[in-house]
Amino acid sequence: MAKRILIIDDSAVFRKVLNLNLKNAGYEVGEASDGVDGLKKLIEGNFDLVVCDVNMPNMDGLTFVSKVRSHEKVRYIPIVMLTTESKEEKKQKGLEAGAKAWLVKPFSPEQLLNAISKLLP
Amino acid sequence: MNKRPERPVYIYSRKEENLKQLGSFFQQIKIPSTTSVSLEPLEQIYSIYIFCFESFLEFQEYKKIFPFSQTTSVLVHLVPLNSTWYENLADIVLTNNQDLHILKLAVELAYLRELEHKTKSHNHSKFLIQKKSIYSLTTSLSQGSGLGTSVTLIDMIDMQKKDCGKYYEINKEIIELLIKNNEHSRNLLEGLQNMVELLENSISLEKIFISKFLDKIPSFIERITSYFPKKNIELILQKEEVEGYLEINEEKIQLVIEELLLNAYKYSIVNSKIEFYLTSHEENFILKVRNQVHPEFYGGVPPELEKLVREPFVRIYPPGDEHFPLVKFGLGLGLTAIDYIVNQHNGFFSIRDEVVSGEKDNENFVVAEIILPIVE
Repeated sequence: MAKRILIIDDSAVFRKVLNLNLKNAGYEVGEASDGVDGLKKLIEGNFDLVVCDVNMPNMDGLTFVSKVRSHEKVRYIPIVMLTTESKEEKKQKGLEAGAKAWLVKPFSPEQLLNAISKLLP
Repeated sequence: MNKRPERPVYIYSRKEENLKQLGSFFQQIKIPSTTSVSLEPLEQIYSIYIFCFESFLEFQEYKKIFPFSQTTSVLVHLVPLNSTWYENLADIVLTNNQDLHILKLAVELAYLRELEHKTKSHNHSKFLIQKKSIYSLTTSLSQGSGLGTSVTLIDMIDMQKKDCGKYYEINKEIIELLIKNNEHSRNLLEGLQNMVELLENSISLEKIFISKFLDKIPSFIERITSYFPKKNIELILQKEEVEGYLEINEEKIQLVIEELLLNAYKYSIVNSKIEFYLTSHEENFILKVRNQVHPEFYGGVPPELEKLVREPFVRIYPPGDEHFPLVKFGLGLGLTAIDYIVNQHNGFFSIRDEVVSGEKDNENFVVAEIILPIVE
């Protein structure tokens, strides 16, 4: 059975690119446009991993990670941050909050798929 | 040996406090002084002229018209009046028998130190602006759609292409996305081109009666406000009847108004209001746009970024893709364009946060304000 990945990003075009990339690699994909939408879909859905942006309206990616980590149902789901934020300080915050990987846009499909396959063996 | 000055020292400052401090200092070292809160009239009867200007620029401007530049008088910039300056001056003067020559040297030394300090802090802020601009530009180019996404899509093509001899077989969906994304990339480059054109062409100003200008506002804002229902945003437009004229370039001021409203729309929370006030205060005409932003995640202009955000490419938050058909100056150039145009109109542009205590929680707003001079 295919693993399910939730993409959270406020850019519709970027979600499509990511979606296509993951589908072609054999994953089932769900989409959300910000942290609030993402948290709702993650709790309601049955996802194995999340790929999440940092700067988004309504709820940013770092807050999303903290909320997931404190939610009993979804706390152990691995989260990969995929963002334009390349500052080490922000990366550290993300990893401390509970993100499992931090990739910087523009992403290389190979790099993303490698990071995901390590977390979803 | 040099003698103590017979002629008094002239001290100018708009602040009484500065005058008191400096007057008392010269009294201590037994040098007569005259203090003044205004620059006029200035007679050539003083040994040293000390000016405490609010800014270094003001000092430099005054230096150009200082009437006694050919005399032995010393024109000194003395802001800020801090303890270090006094310590240096007092130390040198007191240990050198309050000699005029030494005093002049001390004053000149203090001026040079001040100049050095200004240069260093200017360089420091220049580097900060450069750093923030480059960081923001990197973010803008890598963001959701645009050039960064093209890079990823081309990587995907490279990974998935099938070699069919003379041709490659490529996933149709990737090509469609590449074409769609290309619109965003083109928009970014067009934004740069628009900015170049703005900078290269002179802006001619024409007099317009303010009431006539106010009548044109609905047509100026039509394009942007037609998008407001998408976020369920209501526009509150308030116009005050003002006498007099504005000297403006209508087309460019329309651009400024569109950019102000677009900026407000991009970062407004859904189901909120954007307020647009057109009022006057004394000899100035004021355009003010106020929009509500999320208190934590998106929108808002922290005080330390109020000036920086007007610099080219500087962005606090990456904008969403959905606004791109409206954007004329992509890549973080919108507020730079506003600032430039307003300056060409001898006006002033500012943008800042405003926090209002609500019934339950504080509400966060961003206020953008443009001040244009009213002419006769």
